[in-house]
Amino acid sequence: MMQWDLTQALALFLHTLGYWWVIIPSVLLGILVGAIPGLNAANTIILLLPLTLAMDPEVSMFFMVSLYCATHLGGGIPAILINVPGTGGAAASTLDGYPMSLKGMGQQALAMSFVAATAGGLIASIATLLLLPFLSRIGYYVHSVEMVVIMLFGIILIAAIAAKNMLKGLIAGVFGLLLGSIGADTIYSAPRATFGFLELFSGLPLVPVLIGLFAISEALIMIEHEIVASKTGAHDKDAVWAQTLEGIHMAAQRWWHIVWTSFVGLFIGIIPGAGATIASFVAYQQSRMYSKTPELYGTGHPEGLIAPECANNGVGPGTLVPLMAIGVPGGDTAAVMMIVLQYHGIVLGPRLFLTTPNLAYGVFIAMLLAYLFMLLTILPMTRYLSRVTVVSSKYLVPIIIAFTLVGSFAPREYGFDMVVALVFGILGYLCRKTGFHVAALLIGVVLGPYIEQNLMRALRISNGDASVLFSSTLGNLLWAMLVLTLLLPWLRQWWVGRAAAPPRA
Amino acid sequence: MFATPKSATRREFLRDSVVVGAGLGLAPWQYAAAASPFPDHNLRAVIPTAAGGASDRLSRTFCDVWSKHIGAPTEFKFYPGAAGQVGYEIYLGKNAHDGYNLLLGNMDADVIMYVLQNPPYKYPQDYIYFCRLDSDDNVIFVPKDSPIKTIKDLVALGKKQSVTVGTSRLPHPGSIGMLALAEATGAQFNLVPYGGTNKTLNAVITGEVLCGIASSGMAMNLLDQIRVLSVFSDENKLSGLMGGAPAINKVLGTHIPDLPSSRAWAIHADVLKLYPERFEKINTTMKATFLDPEYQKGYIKTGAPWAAVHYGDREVCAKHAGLMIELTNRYRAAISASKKKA
Amino acid sequence: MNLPGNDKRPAGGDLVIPLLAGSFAVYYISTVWDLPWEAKANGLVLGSLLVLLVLASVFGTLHSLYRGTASLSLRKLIEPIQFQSKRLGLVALMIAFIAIMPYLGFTLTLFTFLVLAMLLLGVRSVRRLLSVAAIAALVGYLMFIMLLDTPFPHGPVEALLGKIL
Repeated sequence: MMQWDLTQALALFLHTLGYWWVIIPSVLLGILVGAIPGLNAANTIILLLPLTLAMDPEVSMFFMVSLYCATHLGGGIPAILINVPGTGGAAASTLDGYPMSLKGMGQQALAMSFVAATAGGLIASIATLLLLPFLSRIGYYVHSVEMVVIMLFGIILIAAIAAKNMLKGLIAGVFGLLLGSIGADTIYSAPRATFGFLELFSGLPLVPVLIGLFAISEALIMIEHEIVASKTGAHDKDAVWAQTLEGIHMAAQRWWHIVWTSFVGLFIGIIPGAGATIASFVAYQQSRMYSKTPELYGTGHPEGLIAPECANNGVGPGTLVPLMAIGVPGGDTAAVMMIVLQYHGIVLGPRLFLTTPNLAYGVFIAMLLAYLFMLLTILPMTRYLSRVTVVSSKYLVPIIIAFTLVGSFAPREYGFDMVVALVFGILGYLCRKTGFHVAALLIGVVLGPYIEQNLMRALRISNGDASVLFSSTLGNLLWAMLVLTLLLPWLRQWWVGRAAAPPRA
Repeated sequence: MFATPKSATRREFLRDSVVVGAGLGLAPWQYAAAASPFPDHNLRAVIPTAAGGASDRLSRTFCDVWSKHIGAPTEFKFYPGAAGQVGYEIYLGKNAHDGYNLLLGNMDADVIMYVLQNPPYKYPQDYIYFCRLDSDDNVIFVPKDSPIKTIKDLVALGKKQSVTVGTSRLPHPGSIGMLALAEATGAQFNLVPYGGTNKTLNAVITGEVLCGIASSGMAMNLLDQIRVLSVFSDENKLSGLMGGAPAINKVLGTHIPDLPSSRAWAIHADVLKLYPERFEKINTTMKATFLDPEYQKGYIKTGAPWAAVHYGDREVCAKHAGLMIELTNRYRAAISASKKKA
Repeated sequence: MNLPGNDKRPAGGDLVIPLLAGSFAVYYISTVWDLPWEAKANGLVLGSLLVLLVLASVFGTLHSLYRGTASLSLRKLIEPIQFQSKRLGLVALMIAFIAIMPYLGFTLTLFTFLVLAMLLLGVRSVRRLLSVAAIAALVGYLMFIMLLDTPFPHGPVEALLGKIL
């Protein structure tokens, strides 16, 4: 890749800054798109394809990249305020974000998540810019075996979430894993458990499942309360800016947490097919694992919100690494971006950095700028956004149900998907009422297919020899970390017990 | 480019699956029979893949030019899922058999899935392919730094040990090509499906598998990362774009049939009997589109090579589909969980 | 230890999810039984594990029933009872929403759903009902129909607004 000095970097920065008139509207649109369950960057870009194809290549790329980054941030807004993640990557943010809203700390939670999200995106963008050659090599070491272990980190979270009632948690998690296995198998494309519906041939559609489990089920329970925020924690109209500043301060205090969870998102984002949902759950699990107060997770713990938000936004730059460095898109949004660029005659890959450095590096600088503009535009909005938590449920519930049902149609444009959302809404309601954690179910649905695909692929490569799972150095290192993760609670207990034991006479 | 006008008429909602899976919603247009000139309203194309994909771009590029020849624009509806079967079932079950409704399928891959999935519709009794748009040859490739330099090296290695081959899916023309190659040479190929061409390319480039099979259209953009060893096509029109990769039969002396990934227009079979003049007009005007220089200009803009454009009429399509049916049945055990023949 | 009726833990609701999960597991296994091992391994392992977990859960409940510390009451699911009719009404409205949209079109269906749902939940001010529903439906129209051109069914409102805007 091209070597460049500070002067060139500054010139490039200023050149990209000149596209502020594209980046700012894209950011605003992206936040809106991300906040509406069912809409995401990929399907929005596809819907706006005539527009992006008519634009200049640099303009279209900066538009797409800014929109993409902003959707990650936007998804966290409804996740925190009303327990309805706007995107899959924000599902983990509900675990601690929503409890904060219930305690009347919605504004602080929003401010904290915006700072964490933009910091996560900024850190990941800068790291990608500086370390692109190194990061592009990660894909050469992380294959199916390593992916299996990485996914298992996410699966462990099921047990962590279900700590209060392990049997219920395991039932929800395994049920989710099995639901995630609906559809064509990895090897033969043989349909399984589709109930005769062709629409389930490719598996359960994630967005309607997410909408049902979180949005609709939450709406069905919300009718029992007048407003989201409890009466004791209701919105204090006199101290609104102070709450935003408090949220910013809470984020700033946890700067190290922000840094390392952003890298979790970045590294997982680089792996093709992994995505923000996986990254955010793995980051949450890791954050909980290393926390001194793991029992506070799920009750409105700041780190429990910061970790998934940072990872969710750290994924964005990561997913562009295989596209820019190798020329192979790592996910749906990157694939659509590639289509647009190919239409303009731009061939992606390492050559791009030599032939069109303004575009190649400009992409990541555009991300930097997008995150900066995001912070400036969205932070003042927290005091207004958080008012959702004091809107009467008589108005809020119908609006949530209507727009999320509509959102479940958007990805595949199947009426069937609205029915899926409804069915999972009822299932989610039953879970919530009887102590089965919907997040555990969702983790199973999301991670199950990935684990199966990667496991079956690894076994196929090895002709069925299971020892392939322990055949790579990185894989074995990850296995060791996984075992440590499982043993950590007991090790910690033993260590604390040992430290507290009276000294021998 | 993608300025195909959206219809101002009422859009059709897909299905309400509250009652049954197939649902309701697509109310077929009912028009007076052939008294009015054809076409007197928009044509409709069902695309059984996702919007924004290669078929989307190709169909719009083609129809932008074809609309001038036939005298009406085309509306597009996308029904991805079940490897194309959703789109076919909707087209054959819901859309009117009046010549206004067409389908653009990935002919080879769709026929393979038709044979293996045994759907409720029948080919060629219910529909026929009549206009092949392109023919994207499948190619075998390795990473650029691979010690395997030629297809002969690969086959020689395959005779000593099992060679991992990344492929998009098992039920795929490229996979069938590798199975045919294994059968013809005695080499052992272990097909590893990755669920998509991009993931396959990534797996080969990063070294998880030794080689891969993919369509040339995808491979040709990555020639600084991969080396194309051979092409499953005797004509090998895209050789120059594949770094001079030779046709497989030429190098190995085998007789493996051409195995491209091709897209073709399909129409309800009974339209040929009910509205023969409409079909004739569609057929003639489509053929004329290929000769229109505007089409070449538009096609090249999609990023695909013009050499991949390969008009095929009804007979060509029928012959090719028949070949895919035969090959699929032959290799059914290796590419399908089902052992029963269609 | 046999507790009096009201002190017994209502365990009937706790069986719903396990029974659903267990039934699904059995169904899943039945659909993969004849497939090659790569296609069925995952389902068999997870399905069997799920069945075992469900049996453990059911056994635990039966044991509590036997000891008299639990009842098969579905209280957990249906309480607070005053909201059940509203909940069921919302579900019915959602079904109607999906079924009727092809006929009324996106915007009108959205508007009608919002009015009826708010009415069900207790909004009585006609002005509020109509204004909130109209604004939300208009936002939906602008977002999904005009800006993003999502292929929802078009009805009389879309035809009218399409001419005006």
